[in-house]
Amino acid sequence: MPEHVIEIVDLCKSLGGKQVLNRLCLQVRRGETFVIIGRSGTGKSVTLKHIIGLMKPDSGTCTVFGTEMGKATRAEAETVRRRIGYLFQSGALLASMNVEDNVALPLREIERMPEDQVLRTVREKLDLVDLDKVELKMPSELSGGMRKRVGLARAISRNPELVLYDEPTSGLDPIGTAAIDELILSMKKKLKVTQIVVTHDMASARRIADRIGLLYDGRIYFTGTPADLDETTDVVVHQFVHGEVAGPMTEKSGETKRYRRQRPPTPPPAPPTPHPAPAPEKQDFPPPA
Amino acid sequence: MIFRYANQMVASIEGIGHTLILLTRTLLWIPWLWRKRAETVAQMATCAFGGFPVAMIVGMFSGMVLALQSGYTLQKWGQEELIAIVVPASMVREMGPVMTGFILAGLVGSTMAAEVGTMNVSEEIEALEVMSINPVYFLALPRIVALALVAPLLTIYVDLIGIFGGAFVGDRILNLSYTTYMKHTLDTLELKDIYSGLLKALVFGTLISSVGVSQGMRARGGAEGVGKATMRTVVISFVYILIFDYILTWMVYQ
Ligand SMILES: Nc1ncnc2c1ncn2[C@@H]1O[C@H](COP(=O)(O)OP(=O)(O)OP(=O)(O)O)[C@@H](O)[C@H]1O
Ligand SMILES: [Mg+2]
Repeated sequence: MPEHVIEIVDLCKSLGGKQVLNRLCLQVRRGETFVIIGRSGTGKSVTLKHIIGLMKPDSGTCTVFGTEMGKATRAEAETVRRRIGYLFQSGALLASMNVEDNVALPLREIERMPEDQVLRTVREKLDLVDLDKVELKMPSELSGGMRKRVGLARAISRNPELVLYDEPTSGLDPIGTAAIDELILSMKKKLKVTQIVVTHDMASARRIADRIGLLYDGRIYFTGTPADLDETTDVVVHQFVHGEVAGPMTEKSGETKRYRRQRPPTPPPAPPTPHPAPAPEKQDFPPPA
Repeated sequence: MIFRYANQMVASIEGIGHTLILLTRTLLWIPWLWRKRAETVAQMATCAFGGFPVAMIVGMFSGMVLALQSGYTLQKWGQEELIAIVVPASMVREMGPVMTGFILAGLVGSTMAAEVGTMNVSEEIEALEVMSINPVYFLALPRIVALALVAPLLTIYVDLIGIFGGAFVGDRILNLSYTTYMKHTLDTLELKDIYSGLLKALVFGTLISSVGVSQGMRARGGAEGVGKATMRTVVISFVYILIFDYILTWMVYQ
């Protein structure tokens, strides 16, 4: 078995006349939880869509479970997709079906499971995402956060080996966020699932990530463990992690300089703490009792 | 100006291509139709019940106006009895399938485009792909088969009502009794007229649903894109119905 579940090499993609991904490289190991962070509109969702094969690269390759998704035939891509769970940013529930049918859809259509087993699985997955008594509701009757969680239940209904989450906790309250974080952690521990999580929530990123990658300027600008992220003196990473308005990320694109990663032996001149933005520790909250 | 027309031309050829590819793929999925039987029957029910009331009015007035027009002309030679030949033949061969096609394009084809288009712009079709559920099998197959089957049924209904409409005008205005009318109808109507009409209906139904679903699948850019897809479905379906009506008539009667 190959060490890397996902191997992206020099992925380029233009959309609507804009170079969204520019020679992006990314490797994700088996069993790892990799968190992608980055500003809105930098191409996080686009990256996930390349991994699942919904978008084809302009150039470069994206290999998942040993299959190159850009060149795969439909049948090959479907074989790979059966092993992947995907949570859409919008949830993407089928509006014409109730919650139960939505979650059961892949089980009924593709796995062709017997009906009692389908219902048991649906119940179990909805429990996992902390939803109760919603089976017969239509997606339009649910709140945004509930729709997201139903989408999550559907994504994990087939017990995938790899799960891609596009902002699983956006629109959730702190308790719901913690529950989803727990879910992601337990998927890693109990089921050894490989996971990629796109998120804007730095606190939950720190909690769940084995490694964090910052998407900036069309590529993965920085990768490292949560600890690396705090230690780095890179100005771009620093600006993002601490949510500062002024900095290289917000400069006019024409003037963007290349900031190099550097780790000088002496402590950096800019002190990391006295920033007006809330320190990450404050965003942390204890898990629900 | 010329450039704009050239662009539109390319776009419409693309659209034809997309529709044809979708139709071919759907036909390849026919062996799996059994799995989608419930969905197909549900779609058929929606198509049929949606179409019935309008079809009744359209069928009735088509038959009546045919009888009235030909009746006035034939009256000059004292041949108004001939409407019992003209009206049923025109209804069964032409008016029935074409009018049904128009009704279905406006009622059902547009609905299909809106439905599938909305699914498309809200990432639902991508969600199907991600679950490795083929959207052709899941969305196109039941819809296209349902309309292909409903169109001939609805045509028979429109034919019957149209023929009755002709008889009604004959009885009220042209002094032609129902029995004479029925006798002429049964004597002269050929099997070929009936099956050519039903063949047309089958083709129209297939085309309308293929156009609707393929336009929906190509819809881009939110609610506006869905609206455009709906409008295009109706216009394109009307054009296809008229073109294929000519082609099929020529093929059957040459
Ligand atoms: N189908 C598309 N057609 C044209 N442009 C697109 C398309 N999808 C994405 N884009 C563009 O690609 C860029 C990246 O989009 P993407 O959705 O990946 O951002 P994101 O990083 O997920 O942002 P967010 O955090 O807000 O979800 C955006 O500038 C967007 O305008
Ligand atoms: Mg996104």
